Amino acid sequence: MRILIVEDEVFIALDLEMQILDMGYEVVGIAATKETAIEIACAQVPDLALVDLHLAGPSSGAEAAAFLRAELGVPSIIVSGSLHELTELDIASIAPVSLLGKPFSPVKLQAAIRDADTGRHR
Amino acid sequence: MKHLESLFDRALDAVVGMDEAGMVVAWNGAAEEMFGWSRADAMGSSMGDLIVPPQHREGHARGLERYNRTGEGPVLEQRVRITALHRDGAEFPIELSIFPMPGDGGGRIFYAFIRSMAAEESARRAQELRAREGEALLAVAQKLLDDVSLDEFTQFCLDNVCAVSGMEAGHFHVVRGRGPHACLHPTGIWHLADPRFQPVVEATSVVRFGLGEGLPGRAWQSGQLQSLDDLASSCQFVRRSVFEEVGLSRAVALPVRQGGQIHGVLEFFGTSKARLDPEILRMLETIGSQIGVAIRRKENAEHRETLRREMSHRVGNSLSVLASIYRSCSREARTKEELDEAFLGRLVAVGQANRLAVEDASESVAFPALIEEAISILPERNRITIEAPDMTVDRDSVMPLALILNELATNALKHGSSCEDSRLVVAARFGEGRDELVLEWHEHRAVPLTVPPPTPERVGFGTKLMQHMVEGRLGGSFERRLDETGFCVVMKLPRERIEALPDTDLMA
Repeated sequence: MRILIVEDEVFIALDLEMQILDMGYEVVGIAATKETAIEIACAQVPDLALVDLHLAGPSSGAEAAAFLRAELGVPSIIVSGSLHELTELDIASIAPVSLLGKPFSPVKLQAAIRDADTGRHR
Repeated sequence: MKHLESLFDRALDAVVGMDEAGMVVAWNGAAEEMFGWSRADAMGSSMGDLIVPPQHREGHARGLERYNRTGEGPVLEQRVRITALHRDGAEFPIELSIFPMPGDGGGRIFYAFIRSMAAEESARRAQELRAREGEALLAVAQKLLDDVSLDEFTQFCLDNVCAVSGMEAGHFHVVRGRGPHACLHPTGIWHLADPRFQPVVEATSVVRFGLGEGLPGRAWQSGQLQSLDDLASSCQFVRRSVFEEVGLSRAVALPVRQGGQIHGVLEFFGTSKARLDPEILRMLETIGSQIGVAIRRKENAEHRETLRREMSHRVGNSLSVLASIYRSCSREARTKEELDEAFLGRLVAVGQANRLAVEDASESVAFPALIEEAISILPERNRITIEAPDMTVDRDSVMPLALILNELATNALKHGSSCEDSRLVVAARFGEGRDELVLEWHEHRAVPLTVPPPTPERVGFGTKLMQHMVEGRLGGSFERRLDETGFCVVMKLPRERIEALPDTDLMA
């Protein structure tokens, strides 16, 4: 499975990348803004995106995830320290495969990614 | 009769007399003062033309004609409250009583004692306005305690002021931007007494007033209430055609200030019926200034709430960052000592970069100062040369740059090409075409090695971090070289990402 990381915090992004690689999946890129996320996603069409709601600058992770879902059919796992900021409308347009509140343990991340992978093959 | 005249002249009330034809036959000194006509002017003129306001003239003529015909006069010998006309055209309230007397040459003379109620009336009105003003302020103060959003609160204030002052529309502009870029932005929050005024909302939504521009701009510049009595003929009022079309012809603009600074301008509009006399303007000024302060308070409260949420988010985020740094360091470290050193070193680096990017974000960060701060972990500063153009660093690039430089400094400390007598040069210059910034990190060995140093067999976390920051975050590229003479990294970064444009920060 090929995964896109959308996260503006460099240490978290690099750590997520390592965790994903350790799980035996591929990372197609790391994006820190909505624009970069969309750019990479259009070029690479990943199977899954790991999206942080808060991104650098005025960027919105929710908008990036909604775009990925609507335009490319790419599902997202939403990661955030403030999940409560997600509106019902956001959830409807993103249709996330899971929501992970920060901080989360590697075990949880692994479970969420495996779930997404299983869902993909069904 | 002579007797009577000298008696009348001593009366405090105006005493006037009129014959059956409606012509003035008596006019005392108090009448001269009250109506502005001298006795010589008044005597022989038509009473109706002299002191009866146009809307009452017909009634006055009819009453006189009826009395002459029937001998009946229902208003005679009673206290009557009505308005009268001064020579200057001003209408004012009076109280009078009229009584008929037989005239010297047969016929009748109608005398009237008249008292001006102008002072009482204006005192009553002032009192009423003050009471309304007090109620409005109380309502606003109560609303301030309610859990409503800033927009709702502003709306409530506008509705209230319009209700109290009889204005038909009200709006709030806020000052955005700094220095010469500052201008008034419409908030889009309006009170409209009638939907037919809607076009003024659209007309206002597209204008931005600079200092001194238009009515709101003049209120902002002068710091004083500004009013216009006739918008259609005011060429400084740029939106006049739209306002004229919907029938709004009067306007008042009030600066909203707190702590000596003007943060916005309240605008109120009325039809030609709206009274903009000194009393109303004074009331608007009082309420407006109170509301201004209240709006600012609400704004601050909302800002604090945002900060609180932001804070909680940051703490959660920081813990995640910590966990990530720990995992990354632990993956690489071969011994506990290595882990300690890597983890704690990186923690300090993140803390430092964070301080530069977040805490000092209110002030701009100069490039040389950023370099200085980011490599402050290196000892022996006399062997370090920093050369960089004195430009302000874009806020979004502060953190990446600080982390990159810190990573390089940590590396230099660890791998001691910075050992005795080596020199470090950190130099930034504009590349060809000046749209590129070349940032060089050069560690020179005082004594070159006899053999080239070994190439690291794997890509370390530091290198990955550099790559992510330089390429991913700053949109640049970098090259590194490790040889006998030392270690060198050359980064090519797009200038537009690094350099802050003046005063763009608050315009968003």
